[in-house]
Amino acid sequence: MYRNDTVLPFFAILFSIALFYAFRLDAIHLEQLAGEAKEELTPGQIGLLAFSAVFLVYGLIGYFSTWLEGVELRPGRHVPEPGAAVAVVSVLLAVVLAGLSGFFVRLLLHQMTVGPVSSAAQGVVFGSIMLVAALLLAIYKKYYLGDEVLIEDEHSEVPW
Amino acid sequence: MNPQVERIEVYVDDATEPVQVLTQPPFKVRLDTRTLPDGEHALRIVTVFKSGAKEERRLTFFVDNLPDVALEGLDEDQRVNGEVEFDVKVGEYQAPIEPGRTSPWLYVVATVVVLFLVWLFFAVSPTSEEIASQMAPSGGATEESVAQGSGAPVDQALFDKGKDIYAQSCAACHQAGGEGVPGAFPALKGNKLLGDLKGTLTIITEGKGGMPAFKDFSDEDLAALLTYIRNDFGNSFGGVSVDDVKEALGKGGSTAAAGGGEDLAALIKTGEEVYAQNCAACHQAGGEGIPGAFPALKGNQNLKDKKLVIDRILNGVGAMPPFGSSLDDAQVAAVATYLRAKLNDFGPVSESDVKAER
Repeated sequence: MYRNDTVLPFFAILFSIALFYAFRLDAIHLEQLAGEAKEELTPGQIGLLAFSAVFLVYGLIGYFSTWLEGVELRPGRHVPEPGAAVAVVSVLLAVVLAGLSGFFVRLLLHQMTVGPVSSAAQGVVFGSIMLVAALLLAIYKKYYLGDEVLIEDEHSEVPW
Repeated sequence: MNPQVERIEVYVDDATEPVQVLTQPPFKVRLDTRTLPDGEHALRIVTVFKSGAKEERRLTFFVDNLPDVALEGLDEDQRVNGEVEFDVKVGEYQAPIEPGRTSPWLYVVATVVVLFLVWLFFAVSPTSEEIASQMAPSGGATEESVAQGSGAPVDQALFDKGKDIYAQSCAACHQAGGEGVPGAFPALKGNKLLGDLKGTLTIITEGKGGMPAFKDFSDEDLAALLTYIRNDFGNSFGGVSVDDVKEALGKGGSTAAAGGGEDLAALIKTGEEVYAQNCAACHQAGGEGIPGAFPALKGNQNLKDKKLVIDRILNGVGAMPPFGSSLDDAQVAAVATYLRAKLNDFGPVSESDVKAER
């Protein structure tokens, strides 16, 4: 197994989906028992969601590493190859990032001056900001930053 | 620095005299390549240790100070004869590098300005304010709609009737004020699920969890009850008409054809009598049938198909005899309505429906 093998990330994401599905089924079952949609989560649901999130992040990191570095590290200097398409995507993402940041500020101001804003909506906007920033960093790392691998990758049982 | 090093001598090509001797750090070598002719050269770096030992590192490099010449009019390996004329083009030695027409700082400033404008647009534009105002918490939105009122106007007569029905059938569990009993009976007060007319109707007519099904309520009872629970206890989901109920139950057109709620009750009563005389012997009084011999009519999804029901009564099938000649249209409509609306939750059947199938 290479350092950036996708076997474990794949199963991590699979488990994550399964746990999230279990959470949904649990919610539907509770809704049927109670006769109404409860807003608050039970400790069991929180546990399912938390582990689902952990597995999801673990799996995404794995796939991200594979995308950035390849499955197998090869010694030598790796010169980045930026292209026009990458530049266009970077510019668009930067504009989206600026827009989302501005909108997030608008949400905060709205909450202070007018009335409450759904926490879920704020979370989605902030999460999107983080995601776009992460994507920009990843694009920079992959397409604009030179890299040098000094030692050959070792086969091992423990990935990254 | 390695304390064993005495000095470092730097030689260029095969010179016997070093161009530079370094005795202490930083061992920085400054070599003016313009003193060397263009082409390949060798650099020798000799490290002399205090013990007298020497180590030599050798590397080659390529000096390219002077521009190459370009020939126009004569190519490599070209065959020529007679007089030949061609241009020799040589770049200027040490020509100053032409400065970029646009300063890189301009790019940086332009990027910052553009991104700031985008940011500003989303931060202050009325459109984003409008979107932000639509992002109120869902709980708050419901309360707002309860306070402002929404949906159809409330029929006061239905509301009062619904209040009586609620007091008799619902208040024991859901409490008089609609607040329910936490953990046992859900509150109706502020319950946003009441906004879903069809869902609420299904819960009333089919029951849910510990709640029994109220199958005996007429459409008018249901409309009254729904009007009441959706518009009392601080709720304001709007009134519900009998037509709304019929539509939600999926028996809008048929009911209209068959007449109002009272006609329906009469039709079912007639149908019950016809059924007792003609059908109950095989399909049993409660419509449960005899497994393996006579199919159950109660809870039979096939009865959803109105035409199929009429066809079976008129023409029979298998062991079932046809009743087309012994029952008139009104009787067939009545028994079909009884089967569909009383034994099941489907809509009634009108005489014209039967006539169309004859």
